[in-house]
Amino acid sequence: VSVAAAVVRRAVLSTSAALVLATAAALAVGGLLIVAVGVSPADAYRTMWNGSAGSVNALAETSLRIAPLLVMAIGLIPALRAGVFTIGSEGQFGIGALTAGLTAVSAAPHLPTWLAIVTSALAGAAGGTAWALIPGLLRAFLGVDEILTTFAFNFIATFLLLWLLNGPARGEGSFLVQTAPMPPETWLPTFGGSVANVALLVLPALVIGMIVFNQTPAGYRVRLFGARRSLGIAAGARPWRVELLTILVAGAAAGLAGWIQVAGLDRAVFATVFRGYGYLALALVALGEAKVLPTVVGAVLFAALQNGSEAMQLGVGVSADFVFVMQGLVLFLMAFRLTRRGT
Amino acid sequence: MTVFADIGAVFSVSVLASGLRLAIPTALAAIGESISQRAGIFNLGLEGMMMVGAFGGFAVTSATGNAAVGILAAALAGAALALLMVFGAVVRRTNVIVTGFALVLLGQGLGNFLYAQNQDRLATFRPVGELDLGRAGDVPFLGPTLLSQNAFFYLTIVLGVVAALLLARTRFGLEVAASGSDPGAATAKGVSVRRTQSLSVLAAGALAGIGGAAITIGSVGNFGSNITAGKGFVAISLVAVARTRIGWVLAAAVVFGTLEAAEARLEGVGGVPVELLPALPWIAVVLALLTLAFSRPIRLRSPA
Repeated sequence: VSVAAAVVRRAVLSTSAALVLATAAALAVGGLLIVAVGVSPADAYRTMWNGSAGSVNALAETSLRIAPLLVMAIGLIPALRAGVFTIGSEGQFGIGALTAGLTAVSAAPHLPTWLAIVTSALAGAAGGTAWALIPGLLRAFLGVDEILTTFAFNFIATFLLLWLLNGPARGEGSFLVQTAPMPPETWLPTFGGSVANVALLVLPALVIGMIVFNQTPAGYRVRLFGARRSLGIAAGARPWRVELLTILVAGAAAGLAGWIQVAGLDRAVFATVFRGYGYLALALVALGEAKVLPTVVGAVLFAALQNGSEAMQLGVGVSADFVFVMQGLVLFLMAFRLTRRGT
Repeated sequence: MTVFADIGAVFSVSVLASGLRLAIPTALAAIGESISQRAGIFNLGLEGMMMVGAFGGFAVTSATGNAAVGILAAALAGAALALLMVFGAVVRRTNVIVTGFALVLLGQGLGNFLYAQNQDRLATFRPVGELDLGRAGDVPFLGPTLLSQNAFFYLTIVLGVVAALLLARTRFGLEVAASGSDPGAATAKGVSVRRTQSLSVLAAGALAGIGGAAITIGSVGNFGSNITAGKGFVAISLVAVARTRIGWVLAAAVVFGTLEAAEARLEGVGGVPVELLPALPWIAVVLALLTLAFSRPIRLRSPA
């Protein structure tokens, strides 16, 4: 137990502390940017705080962003540990949202409530996995670089979704580019009176599951494989399996996150389901150095920044695009911890 | 057979002409990426550098009314973001992928943010027009394609030739190749790997910046949220397919641009839904990477 405690303490002290410092530094630079556009940084940051953490409602709103981001990020951890840089979460998220939404619409009338929810969750995960399959196979068996293929698949997903929502998947009699609304029994139940939903309860299980996986022999092989391919292979990792499975796991998680998005907040699938969460999740895992706890800290920080930036745009007229500058800076600063020492 | 006839009509002279136009931004960025990759730095931040160039070029042209000054500003903006890449990936030897990805977010954020804050103050303008080459424009085939383009097109060709000569025929080119293939040996032979890589990454940033400006100054006369729309990643894909050889990079850019131009003409051909047409160039990228994998696996990044 004391060893585990020491490991936990070191993880929190090192990467997570650096992450908080990097965020503070980014906000300091951001303050200059806010001054440059003629707004008082004190006003701007007060609005940001109030909008993201200043009240129970704000916290509940922030939690709605944490859930999909964190699920996607946790799913990316094995891939980044294995040195597989899949940036396909964005597209897999959209496809997962679509399969989950359509399943909810068509299956709900025939199933008991709990089964309808579980079925649409599984459909979301299956959709995300399916969308990851081709880049995964190409990487595993032909050595085609996953960065470029997964990125291309993100674009293909946006156009595919647009077409499906305009035609085959469009809600009957709908004038809008969207599916039919999901029946209320497939929505994620919320906590008494707030917008926060039960997806939050799934997060601890996923977090603990990933911490445990990293300690298993398989998790160890994945990490060895990423650190030095030959070592991983010597330890029994088969390259194609590591590459394919890590990409598919990331896809399943992204699809599940898509389900959380539609069942927890959107309650129908819109063409605007793409929010850049996929890219943010990847940034989170990269800056968390593919470790679980820093990734959790990062997800909370990023979700709060995101929510706060929108409040800031409404409140003091500083564009919400500010958040990407902050997130880019945080990731840039954190990258200095990932130097190519000894290689 | 009618489908083939339709496809024949799609790839007409006018499609090729607009294909060449659409190829410009990606081609410029891809020339830069080739230099950077030859020097051993995989520059994933290209998209961000295009974004700041697109905005910087637009803002300065809008303020000064001078497109040449705007292009210079775009190059400087791209190089400024590339300076962060130099400081991270070259000087401190950070993980290139993570630093590059950070610069994508940062560049997109900066471009979109600065535009959103200054939108009211920045007037739109007429994009740079085609050069008037007099009678030359009447030459069949060549007239409407190669001889009726704007300054960015000819700038791209000049920069492409300069880059190819620089890499193949100069001492600097040899130092770039040495730094990229064997930094240890290069250092032993007295080459400053750090200096060579820094200059190459800065060149990539400047070229990507001009590529961004080719969109805002050269074709739209305005800016818009995420206006580069993934072209930086397309450029990286083209460089992978062309294996950093400038001539092939330019050819690949033209093919991609022509596919983009053909989208509008493909409506109704073979029953492909209109919404799916913009996905075609991306499918082509995947297929190109796939085809190449059969001849030789693509390793963009040295295995860890």
